[in-house]
Amino acid sequence: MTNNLMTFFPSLQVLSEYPTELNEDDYTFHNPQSHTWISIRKTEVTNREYGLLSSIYTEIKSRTAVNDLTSTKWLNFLKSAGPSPLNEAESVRIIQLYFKENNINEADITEACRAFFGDSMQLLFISSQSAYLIEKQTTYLCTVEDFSSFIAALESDFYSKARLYIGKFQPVNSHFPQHFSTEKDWFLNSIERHRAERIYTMENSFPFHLIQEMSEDMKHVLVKEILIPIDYDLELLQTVQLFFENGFNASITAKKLHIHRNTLQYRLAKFHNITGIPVRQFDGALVAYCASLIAEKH
Amino acid sequence: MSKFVLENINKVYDGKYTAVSDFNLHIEDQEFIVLVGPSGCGKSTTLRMIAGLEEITSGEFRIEGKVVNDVASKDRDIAMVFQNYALYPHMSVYENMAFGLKLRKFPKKEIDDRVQNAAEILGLPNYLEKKPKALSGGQRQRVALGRAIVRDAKLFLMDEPLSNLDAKLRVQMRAEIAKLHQRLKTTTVYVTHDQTEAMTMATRLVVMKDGFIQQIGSPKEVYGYPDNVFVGGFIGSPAMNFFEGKLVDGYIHIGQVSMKVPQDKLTLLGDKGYNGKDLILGLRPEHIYGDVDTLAHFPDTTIEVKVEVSELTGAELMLYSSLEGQPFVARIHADATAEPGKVMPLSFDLTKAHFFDKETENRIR
Repeated sequence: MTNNLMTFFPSLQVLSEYPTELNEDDYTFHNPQSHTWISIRKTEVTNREYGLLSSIYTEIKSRTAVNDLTSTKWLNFLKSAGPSPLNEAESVRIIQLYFKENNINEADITEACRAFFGDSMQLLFISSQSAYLIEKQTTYLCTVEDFSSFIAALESDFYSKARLYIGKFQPVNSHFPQHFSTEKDWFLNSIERHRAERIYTMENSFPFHLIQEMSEDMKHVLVKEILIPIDYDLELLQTVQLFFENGFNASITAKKLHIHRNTLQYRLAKFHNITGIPVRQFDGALVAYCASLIAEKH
Repeated sequence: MSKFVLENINKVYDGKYTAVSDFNLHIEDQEFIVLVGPSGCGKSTTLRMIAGLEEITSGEFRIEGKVVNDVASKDRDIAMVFQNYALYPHMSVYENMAFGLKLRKFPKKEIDDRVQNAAEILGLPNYLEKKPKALSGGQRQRVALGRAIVRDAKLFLMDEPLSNLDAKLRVQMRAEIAKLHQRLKTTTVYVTHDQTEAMTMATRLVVMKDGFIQQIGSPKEVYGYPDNVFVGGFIGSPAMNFFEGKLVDGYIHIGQVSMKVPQDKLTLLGDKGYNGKDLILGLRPEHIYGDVDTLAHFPDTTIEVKVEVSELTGAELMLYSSLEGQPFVARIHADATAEPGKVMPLSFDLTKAHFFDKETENRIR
């Protein structure tokens, strides 16, 4: 069905997740059968076709989020290069929030955020499914655990899967909108490629971006030198990946894999024997880790 | 008819990464089901699919006969408790417990009744005005439970709720949750990676690995009759010992050591065609004995071993040794003298042994 539609509407795009931001130049529809969303340029759709599409699918309409004056200033700053809402010497980070359900009640979410963070955060609503939390750099900074607890609280009270991206602190000067624009791209990319996660940061997204940006030639080297020799052995790859992610700590890695330490040592040695790459050394581990990410993508 | 039915449930991320495969479970009313397995086995994903926080890729989830795959999470009549308390620091205990009901526009009087009742059950009446920061870890977790109790839901979903507590408090809270379940009788699905927690709390266990169910059964069944090597090794602490050996003419040969296999087990193994074949012998540490009186009862399975490490845990001694290069641990009486380096006889009680196919690692039955 979607393929047929593409012949009529070349701009049609299929999304597997609710779009985090709705483009005013597009129509966006939800297909409940395949649980996908499609967006089509408005200029390609006649009134009659629009009526037809609306009767088959559910249209997702952009909702104007109600923000206070301070929030409006922030949006103006981030989106339209308006003046900085704060002294330019101050640093903030933006936590991008995304809800799976598109029926969040802004007043309720605002109350939840205030109850969680007090007055230390400014909340901006972007759409019916997304919002930004702006955190100033003060003496206490929220930790990943705080945000994890926040997400759990939202999920248990609002019954909606929530995901967030914790940005980096940056002075609120003229470079900030560009910095934030990059973080927005990273969040979108991370959601697309790593759906099981709920909290994203530059650190946990970086390796995946690195693999995405890696040239085919470099990937081929890793495939040739590692993945083919070990015959894409997922058990071995998972072992070296976790060993790397757990800071080369054999006890923690063995515990997480629920294997004996000796079994872990055996697998690491086996990897070394087959590939000639010493995974207990940083450079060897880094190469093996990248190979495991490439294998994951396949 | 079972109250909650999960049938052929699969969860696939991005069309390629399978988190849960062919999950089948019928949950009866008032059961306390524990999903247990190592990290990454799919237990939390399963719980989140039940909650409606993750979509079910394929398969059916039914509540009281009605398919709820597409029913929104808020309409499934469930309450969730998470590992990290999920409390609002700037709300009092009372407000924390009331918040979910307030969002659902419950009348004030009903909210108050429910919160007071939950506080009473959890021993929190004197803490209602306090903020979470002023509470201990155990009290915070009780508030988290209170937030679920006030909803009076059909199903409680708990995702590693005790993982943030220290060992002593965890044992205490474990008992409190069990008591709470006996009192409220709310059907519960509980996720943990801790096999002791699973064994002590569950009416039925679901052991998972790599997205697949390995075994479903009561704690006693799973401990006593593990379906495969993984379950035998995962459930029980210390873990079950495994020895690779060969069955020849009524004896299991482990390297140069031979032990006579009891007749009933031998008949089964013979019937299944294992005579002359390699297999895996599983034996729990408590089924290896070291006291002199017992040794006499097992003349055909008593072996001299060299003690490598011994750990006194109080009433018992964990003795670490190896049999033909295959490590094992024996749980023997603390009175035994077993210094490292000492050679001593141990009896392997093969009447309690489990035999597994070497290739499939499945129990031979």
